[in-house]
Amino acid sequence: MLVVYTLKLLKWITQMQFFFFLVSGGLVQSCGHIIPESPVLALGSNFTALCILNESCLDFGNIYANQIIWKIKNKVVPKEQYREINRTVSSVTFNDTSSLATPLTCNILADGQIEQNIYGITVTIGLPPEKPKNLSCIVHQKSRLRYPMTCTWNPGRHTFLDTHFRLKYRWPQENFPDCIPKDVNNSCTIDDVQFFVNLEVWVEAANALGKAESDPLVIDPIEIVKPLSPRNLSVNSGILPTVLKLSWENQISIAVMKLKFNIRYRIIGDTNWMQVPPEDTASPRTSFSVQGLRPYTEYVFSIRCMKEDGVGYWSDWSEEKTGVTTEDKPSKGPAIWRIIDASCSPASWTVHLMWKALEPSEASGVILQYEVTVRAKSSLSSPPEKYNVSTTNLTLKLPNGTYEVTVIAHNRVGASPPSVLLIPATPVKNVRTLPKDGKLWVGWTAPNSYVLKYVIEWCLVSNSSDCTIEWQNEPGNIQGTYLKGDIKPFKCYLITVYPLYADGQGSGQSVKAYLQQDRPSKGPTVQTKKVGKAEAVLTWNHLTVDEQNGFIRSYTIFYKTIDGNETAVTVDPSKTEYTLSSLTSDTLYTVRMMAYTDEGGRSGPDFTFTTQKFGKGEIEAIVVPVCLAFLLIVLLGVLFCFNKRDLIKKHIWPIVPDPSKSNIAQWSPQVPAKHNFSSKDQMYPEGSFTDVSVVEIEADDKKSFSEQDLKPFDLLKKEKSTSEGHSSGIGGSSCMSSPRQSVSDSDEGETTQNTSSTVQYSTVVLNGYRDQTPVQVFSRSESTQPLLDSEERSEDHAGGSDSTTQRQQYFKQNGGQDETNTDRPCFERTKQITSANEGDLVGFAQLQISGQSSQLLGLGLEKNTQEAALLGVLQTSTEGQTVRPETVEGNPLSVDEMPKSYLPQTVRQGGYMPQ
Amino acid sequence: MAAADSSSVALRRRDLCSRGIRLAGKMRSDVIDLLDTYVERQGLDASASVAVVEGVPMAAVEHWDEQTGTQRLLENLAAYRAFRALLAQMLEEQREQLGEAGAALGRALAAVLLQVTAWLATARCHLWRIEAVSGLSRRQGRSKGTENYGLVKGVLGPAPQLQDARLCRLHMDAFFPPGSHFLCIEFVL
Repeated sequence: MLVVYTLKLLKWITQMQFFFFLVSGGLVQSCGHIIPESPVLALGSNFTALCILNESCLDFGNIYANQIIWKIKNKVVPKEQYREINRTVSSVTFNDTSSLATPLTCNILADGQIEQNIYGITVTIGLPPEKPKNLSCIVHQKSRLRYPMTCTWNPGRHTFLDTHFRLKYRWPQENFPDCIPKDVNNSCTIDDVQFFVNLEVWVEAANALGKAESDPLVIDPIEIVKPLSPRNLSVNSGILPTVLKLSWENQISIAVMKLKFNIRYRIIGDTNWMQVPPEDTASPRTSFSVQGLRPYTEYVFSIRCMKEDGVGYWSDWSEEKTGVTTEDKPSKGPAIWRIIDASCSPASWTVHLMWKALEPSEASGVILQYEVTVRAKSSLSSPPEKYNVSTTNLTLKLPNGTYEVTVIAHNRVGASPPSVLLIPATPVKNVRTLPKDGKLWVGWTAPNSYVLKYVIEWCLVSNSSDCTIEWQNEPGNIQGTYLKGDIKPFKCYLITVYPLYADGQGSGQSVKAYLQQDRPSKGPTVQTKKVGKAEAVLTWNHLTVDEQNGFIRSYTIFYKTIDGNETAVTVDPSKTEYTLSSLTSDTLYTVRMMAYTDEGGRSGPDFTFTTQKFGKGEIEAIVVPVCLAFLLIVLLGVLFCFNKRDLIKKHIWPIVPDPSKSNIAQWSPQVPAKHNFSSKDQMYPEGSFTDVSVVEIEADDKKSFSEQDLKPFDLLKKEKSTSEGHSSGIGGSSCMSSPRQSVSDSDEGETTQNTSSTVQYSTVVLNGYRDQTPVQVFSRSESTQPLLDSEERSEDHAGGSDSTTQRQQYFKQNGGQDETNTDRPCFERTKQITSANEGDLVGFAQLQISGQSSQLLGLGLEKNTQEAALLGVLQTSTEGQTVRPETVEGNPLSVDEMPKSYLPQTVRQGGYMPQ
Repeated sequence: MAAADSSSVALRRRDLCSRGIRLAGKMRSDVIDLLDTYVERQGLDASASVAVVEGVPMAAVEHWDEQTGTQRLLENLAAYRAFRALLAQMLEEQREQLGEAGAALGRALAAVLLQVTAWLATARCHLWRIEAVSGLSRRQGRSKGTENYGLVKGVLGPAPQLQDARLCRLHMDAFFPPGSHFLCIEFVL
């Protein structure tokens, strides 16, 4: 605190202006000072300070005491607290120092207004020390000769001042140096003390405001000793198996202190300590024999000591030492039981004898072997059979009868008392269980006969492990007991009660029980076994015993449609199948199942199924008649067709005129020569074209051309196709022969004759027949050569849905062209082709036909004036059939030039001309 | 309860009274240890006995029947004062001769010296007690105890020092109720 105030003062000094004057010699001297200088004040007391001005300043600075202003920090002290003692002295009084702070400054108003500091002091406020209380001391023995004494006390309230504590002590006529605490203010340790003389001890607390002393503590240090615990503790086995002898060394001289002791011990592994009666160890000693121990048992010992008269403190417990008692003969025989298996033979039993290993406290050593004696009760004269085994079970095959079985356990020292069991003899009745107080109580009704004792046998029923049998004996006069074992909640136990009679044992009666039930750990998983239109058969498996956690009291099936309410059905827990009825057909159902114990239920996973739309036999009832009706109709149709076959044939396959018998067959070869309308014919003499099998007929929606109108064009095709025995039909749209077949046939026929080219192109353009909607243009090449780009485009173009429209437009254009007698694009392309080789020419032909077939038709069909020219273009070569569209471009024919025999009037009229 | 308290006070009073004997016993024990250390260090005859060391106070059993308790106390007091002087001299000599090497021996000597001082302080309290009881008896017109008064006064001087009296009273009044004439006669050797 003082440091804090000092720091504040320094800070204040740097901030303040001081009123100085120079004295002779150049020294600067303050114009005044405050009395007292740096006072230490008790909190709550009153305080008066004087500010004394130097006489020399009166004249020099013209300042007087009435101009003095007192300040605490920067706060002016009220004038009421000032008093002008004389012209150079002013005092200020504080009735309560709690209102004070540091610094307290004396200031003056120079020249009436300018405040200047004269002097300042730090004020330290605190409390006088309180009387230290609760002084107590303890002597901790550190070694055989060193006994430092530590005293502690309550230093009292905080004084806010630097307070010093001193532990003072003395003997009569002997003073010792004070013990000064280090770093603490409430304890101090005197290095060494002497016993058997009273020591007066007290604490003195002192600070600037005073000092205080505690009440003196007058004590002989021997009375406050906490001795060192005995050391070198050893444990030795005694002659008796129940005794261990302890020995130790005391670390304090008997000349200094007589000791008494506490000895504690426990069985190793046990946490509970036992203690030797204190009165047995209340006198000085260095050894003790602990009695009443268990034979062949390892014990842990520890010891402590204190002054014999109980004045002082107990030492700490010594280090722990262990010792083992010697062996003794087993204190009791092993508990024995048996399982009788009579299933092997009607005349004998397989008896499984089993006994429990003795507890260590009962075995009193290492059990080396068990001696089993079986004596037939029916023939006492026969000698008993003895078996020595080291295990805890024995299986014997015995003839049916009553036997006395004894088991004796042997260790190194001796044998245990025999355990006797009679096998076998009326069961108990009404076996029942009841959970009570966290344990499982088993009750039964005793049989009429006298029962020596009961054996309660139980095991935990689990899927994951076998039923490990545990058992316990109970006296024959009771009719109920608690199971002595680790009975777990939520587990199923199978409990069997056997009565033991003097001449054998009764058969057991069993019951299943739970110590505590819980909800099942999971619900049953339901699924459908069969789903119908209005019913569904659900099936599920029972929960395993580990999942049940209790007795399953019922199942509940919940089912609902997607947007419907849930319906619940309770099912007997023994069932594993249930049929839901009154379901809606063709509906998705969600079903789940809950299993309930006494403590509640748990739901299994949802399962969905959809009921069938039709019931059993409904589909058959519909399908069979429909099929029969269909068959009947088909049959009738066939019969009808059969009867009317001629009519149908005539309707489907109209009589096609034989082109060879037509007039055109006689004059057409000469047409190109006669008309000589194409200069290109000269460039390409006959036979330079490969072949052409083109029949192109446009049957637009205007139906301007009938079958009869197109017949002349067919003739060109028929010229080839008819020779093959096939009818290509008009435009290849024969119902008997696909366009492709038609083309192929044509190709086959031609390739054998064509020597100028091995590549055969053919195009069949399908058109509507009669008033039918024309089939889209079919264009196919059997060539293995790569197709021209234009071919691809032409196909696309031909396949377009707007082809008809385009054709129509083209017709109109051609109409225009006809008038202007020009068709530049077509011409130019044709010109290019003329310079190409034969293959290119073939490609061109294909291109023209497939891609711009509408042009051809347009040219040929839109204007009658072009008909003759068109026919010229369709000049047939014996080497092949090729369309030569350039002729259209080069020599558009006038109507007058057209051959009269080519039935121009028929085409124009749109009728059918019979051949 | 009261009986138990009474028994406890009696037990502690006996303990108090036997303190001088026990302190003397401890002193002898420490002196034996000291002597063993000294003999071993000096290579002297290991059969030396405390009994033959001159100056160690001994129980003057041969005169016990002839002496009062006060006389025995005074005799012991004189013996221990002499013993203390001897120890102080030994300690001084030991410091001069052995220097730092004999620090352990010096500490042992100092401890024994301190115990002798303690014994003397306790003995003074018993003497104060004797004086107090004698004064009380004299004021009560009893003759018992007055015989010791002159002896004690001769030992302690004209008047016990104030501080000693206060300290002795502080401790002994806890065991000897006011007005009690009980004195520790077993105190001395």
